[in-house]
Amino acid sequence: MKARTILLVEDNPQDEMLTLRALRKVHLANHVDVVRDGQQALDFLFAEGEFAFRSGQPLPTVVMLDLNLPRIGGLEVLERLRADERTRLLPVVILTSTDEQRDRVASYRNGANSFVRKPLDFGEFAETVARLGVYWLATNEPPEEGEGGR
Amino acid sequence: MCDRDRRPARPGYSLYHKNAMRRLSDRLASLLLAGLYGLAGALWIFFSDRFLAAISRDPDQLTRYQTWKGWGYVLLSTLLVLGLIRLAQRHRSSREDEVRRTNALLSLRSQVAQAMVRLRGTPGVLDGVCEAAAESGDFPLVWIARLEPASGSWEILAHGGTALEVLDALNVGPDARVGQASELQTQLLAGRAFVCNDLSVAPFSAAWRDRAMALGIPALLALPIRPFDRVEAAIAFHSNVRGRFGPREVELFEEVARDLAFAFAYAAHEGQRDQAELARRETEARFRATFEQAAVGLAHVAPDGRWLRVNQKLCEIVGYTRDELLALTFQDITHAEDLNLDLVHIRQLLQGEANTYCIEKRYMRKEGTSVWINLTTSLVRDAAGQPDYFIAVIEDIQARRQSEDEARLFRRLLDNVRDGIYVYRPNTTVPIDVNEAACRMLGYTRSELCRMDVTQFADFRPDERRWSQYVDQVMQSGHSLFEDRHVCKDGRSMPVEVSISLVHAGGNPYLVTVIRDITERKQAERALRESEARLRTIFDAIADAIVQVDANRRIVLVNPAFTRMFGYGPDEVTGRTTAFLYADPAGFGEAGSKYYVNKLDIKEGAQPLTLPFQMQYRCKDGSTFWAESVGVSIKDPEGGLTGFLALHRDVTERREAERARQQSEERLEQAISVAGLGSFDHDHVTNTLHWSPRQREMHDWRADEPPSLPSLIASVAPADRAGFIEALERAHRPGGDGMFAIEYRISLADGSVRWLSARSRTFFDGEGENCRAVRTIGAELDITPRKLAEQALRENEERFRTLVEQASDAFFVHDETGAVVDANRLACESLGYARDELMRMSVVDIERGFDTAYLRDMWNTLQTGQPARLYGTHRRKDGSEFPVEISVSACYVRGKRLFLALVRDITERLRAEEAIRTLNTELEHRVNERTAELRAANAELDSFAYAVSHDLRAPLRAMNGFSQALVEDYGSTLDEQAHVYLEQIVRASRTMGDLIDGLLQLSRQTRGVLRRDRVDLSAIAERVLAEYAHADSHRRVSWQVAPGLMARGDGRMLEAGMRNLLSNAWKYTSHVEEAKIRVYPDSEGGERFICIEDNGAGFDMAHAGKLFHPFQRLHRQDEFPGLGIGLATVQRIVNRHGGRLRAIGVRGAGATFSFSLPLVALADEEDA
Repeated sequence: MKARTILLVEDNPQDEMLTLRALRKVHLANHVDVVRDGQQALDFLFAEGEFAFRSGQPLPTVVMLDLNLPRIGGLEVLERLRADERTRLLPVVILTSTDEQRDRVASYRNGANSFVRKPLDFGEFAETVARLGVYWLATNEPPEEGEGGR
Repeated sequence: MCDRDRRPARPGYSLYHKNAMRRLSDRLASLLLAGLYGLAGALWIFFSDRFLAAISRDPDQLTRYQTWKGWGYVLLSTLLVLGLIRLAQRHRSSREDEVRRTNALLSLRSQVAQAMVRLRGTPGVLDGVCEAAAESGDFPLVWIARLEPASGSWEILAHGGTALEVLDALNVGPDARVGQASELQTQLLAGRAFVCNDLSVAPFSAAWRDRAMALGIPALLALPIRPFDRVEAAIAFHSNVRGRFGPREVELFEEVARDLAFAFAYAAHEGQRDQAELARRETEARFRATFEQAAVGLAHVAPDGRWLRVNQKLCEIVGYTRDELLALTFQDITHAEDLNLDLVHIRQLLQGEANTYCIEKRYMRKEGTSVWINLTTSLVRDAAGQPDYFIAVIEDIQARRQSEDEARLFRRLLDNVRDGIYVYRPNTTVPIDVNEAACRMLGYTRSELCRMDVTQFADFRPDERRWSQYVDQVMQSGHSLFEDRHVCKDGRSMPVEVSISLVHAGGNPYLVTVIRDITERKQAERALRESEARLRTIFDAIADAIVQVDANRRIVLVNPAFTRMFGYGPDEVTGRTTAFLYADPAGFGEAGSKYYVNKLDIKEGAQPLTLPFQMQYRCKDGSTFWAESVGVSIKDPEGGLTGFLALHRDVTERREAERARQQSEERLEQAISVAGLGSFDHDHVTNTLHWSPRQREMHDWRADEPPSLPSLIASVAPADRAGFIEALERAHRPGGDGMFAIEYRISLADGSVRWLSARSRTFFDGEGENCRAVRTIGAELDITPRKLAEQALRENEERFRTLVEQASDAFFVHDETGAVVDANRLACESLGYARDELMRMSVVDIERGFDTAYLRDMWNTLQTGQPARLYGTHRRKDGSEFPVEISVSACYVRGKRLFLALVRDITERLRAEEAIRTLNTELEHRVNERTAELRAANAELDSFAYAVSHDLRAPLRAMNGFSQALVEDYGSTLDEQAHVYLEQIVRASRTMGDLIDGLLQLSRQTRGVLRRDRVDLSAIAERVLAEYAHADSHRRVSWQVAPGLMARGDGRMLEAGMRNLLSNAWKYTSHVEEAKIRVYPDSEGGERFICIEDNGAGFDMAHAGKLFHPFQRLHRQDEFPGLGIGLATVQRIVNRHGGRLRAIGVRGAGATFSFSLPLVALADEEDA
């Protein structure tokens, strides 16, 4: 079994730190790649641009995607991932601050696997993130085991 | 017992055996006796001699003793021999007796056996046995009794002999039971014989014993009969010989008892066999009866399909007789369409794939009709497993199929009727079924409708209980018919005619509600009303008298002009025949025959209008007048004549004028003949003018003043002077025709005006340039009366025209080619043309939808008499267009086909209609317009809210997160104060998060497009309060919600608003023991309010202003927790609905929040 990893797409450095800290608590921090905007996320997943070196590497097991991102927004990232044959089935969890109904609906319509609002309280936040990490990396069975990479 | 069991079965063996043994022992006894006798003799001789010798004192004595001893011996021997003989004789006799008795017993047994064999199987066998035993054994009584196992008593089965009194004595007659003599009973039940050779000493009842002794039968032998090693019966022999039953008898009779046991066993076996046979026969009969009389068809069918056996019911189902059916196969009578299915199943049965099958199929009855049956078939296989025959159960389901078909048919009918139908159970308001039309009409699907309450689509006002009233009416009278309104899914309100009937089906009552969309009818009614009103206006305003009469010319209706003209009020004439209106009674008949005839008889060229005719009528005051009348026949929709409409115009003056003119013409003729006509002669050459006296008279010319052209011209009225001069010059101009004809006025000396008609001819002399007038000869006529009459007529027409001109509708008259013949002022103004411009135009130029062909069609359509109502677009002179409603009727005016078109600019009306129809949209639209700039602000607020939710939360989370991370990671190195500070940061960030959430909620709940739903506020209140009560079960809160508070508005927002207000009421009553919440309607100054009242903490009215501001609170968190966002939200929601929110509170005594929703009022108006 290949290593299961998380791709965290998060532009807010504080949220990134808090997320990584929560994952570290459940010993998953080593499995996390972080990119900071939508363009980077797409480059990372399709092994293009600055991430061309990733060609041939397996896809992460799950993508934790913020919606409010610089350059390319989270919803568009999601849309492009779903449009591409390689990432069509890639599990994507929306992890965001808003709880706008339209965001939720749009996310699910675009094929998000899950929609999680970042709780304001750090305790809850840490628990939510940790549970997400454990769930997607350990509990959930991915659609195809690491075969998405080209 | 065991010995007896092992005894050989051969009867009599033991008897012979015993005899042989006895003979042998007798012989040995004889030898022994002889030996003993010899031995005794020898011992006697020896010892007697010795004794005698011992006692004899002398030989004599001895010899004497010897002699006496010899004599004694002889005596003793003789006695012994005698005794022996006697003994032998007695022995022999007893032997003979015994043999005889044995023989008798054997004979008895034989007799018994014979009787058993002879009488086997007959009811009298036991009696025969008893008789035989009694007779051959010489017993006075023999009986056989059966043991009743249950009671242990005995039942006499048979008896023989003569001493029946014994049985009577036992109180056990032949059919009664033997008493329970204990010894007898014990022995018999134990399977042993009971022997009693002397009843006198036996332990029996005294009665029995005495009777038995009296009859001389002291001996009794009773034996058990044990057919299956079980005592079942007993046989008893009574003997009149005491000691009759010795052991041998007993043995022998035991044999008899055994024979009887055998006979019993045999009989029992026979009985069982008979019963089995009987049972088999009964089963067979029962099966046969079942088969025959079953309520379903039953048949055995051979594998090849032949009927083997059929029952009556099957014959009835298929209509064949049994014999006919047995000659057929099932294939013969199966419906061709169903045969294949059946054969497939048969094959499966034969191949063992199924044991049985059940299908529904049709048989063809003998008379050719088909019948639906349910067929269940099983295959019976023989012992070898080969198919033997089928068992078919055939059930007639024709009725069921038919009712199913009918049900389907009804369903289809139901769905195909144009009226909507729903079905309710009484006392419910949710339909259990609706038809397609109802769904179509209301725009819901059937399943939606079947979940909806009637009040959701029947547009009842909130406070009304109309539905239940209707239902009550139906329950009382069985039917209810009324008009109401329904609301469609799209919010459209539709007028409907509702008919509710109470229908019973299957014993249950149902309410069948039929709704009919009467939108069109309502519109038609409204149009009709409008049209009627318009016509009524014309009817009332027109200057001509209008009289409507029925077919018998009785007056139905008259207009005000009639009253003015004839002097009769409407009440005085209604119902009277019009004859009294005619000046000459003959005129009534003449008018009837000539003008008011049934024009329907005229096939071609039928015209609704009669030709105008003049008639003299009589007023109420007796005066007469002339009127021009025109009649119109009135027809009912079927074309039958129902009456006439007559229009009378007073033409007395015109008539007089015409008569005057006629008279003047007469006078002219007379003048011509008798120089009554004024004449003149003008000699141009001499320039002399000659007037006749009549001419002078007409001009009031003085006799002394010679006439001249200049003075004549001077007398012409100034208005006509120019025309007069022009006509004169033209007539005098050389090269012209010289004709002069003019009507002109002259001003008379007394200032009056006289109309004259002049006619002359000018004669010329010479040609070309030399041509000139030489003489003019003419005549002149005073036409003043005619002119006055004409003027009156013109004025009359002018009045009429004014009426038309001032009508609110544009009025066109055009012919069938479309050429405009007349139009009123409004027509000109509305189109922007001058009247004469219009007169030159065609309607085709104005109404683009018309062309000549269309007009021709329309003419033909209008022939039928009804005015047509059209909608079109008219074009103004400036090219702009506007929508119009045109009411066109056709008429003949002096033989010319004309259209009368009343045109109404319906721009405003359409706009109004549009406004009403799309009130919702329009309102929203208006609100949108009014708040155009607000919307931008809203959008800004939205994006602000969005940013708040995302951007502001992130730093908060960071504050919260890193504070906690600090505590977790470095908590041990921080002192207590630092912990407190960090805790404050966390708490502050949480509070800020809550505030942001509240702000978002406020924004979210009140934004978006305002929908216009029907909202049941009562239902919302009840539901919300029930929720709270459920969640807060320890609290005691009573509430009262007025039913039927309906509102129009955005359902989602109104629910949020109600929820906020109710939640406040709930929250602020939490410190009250007996909390009370009341929701009720109120109205103030025509404004309707929904009020929510509680008896909770209340508030100080001085602070009421702060209530509706976000985050402003009147209570501390530790009193009542909260954000202070709820009432601000309600305020915004109510404001968005255009309503007002009010708060009335008393500190510590409760609060009442009321809100109004003006849209509700609007909704109600529209619905009304």
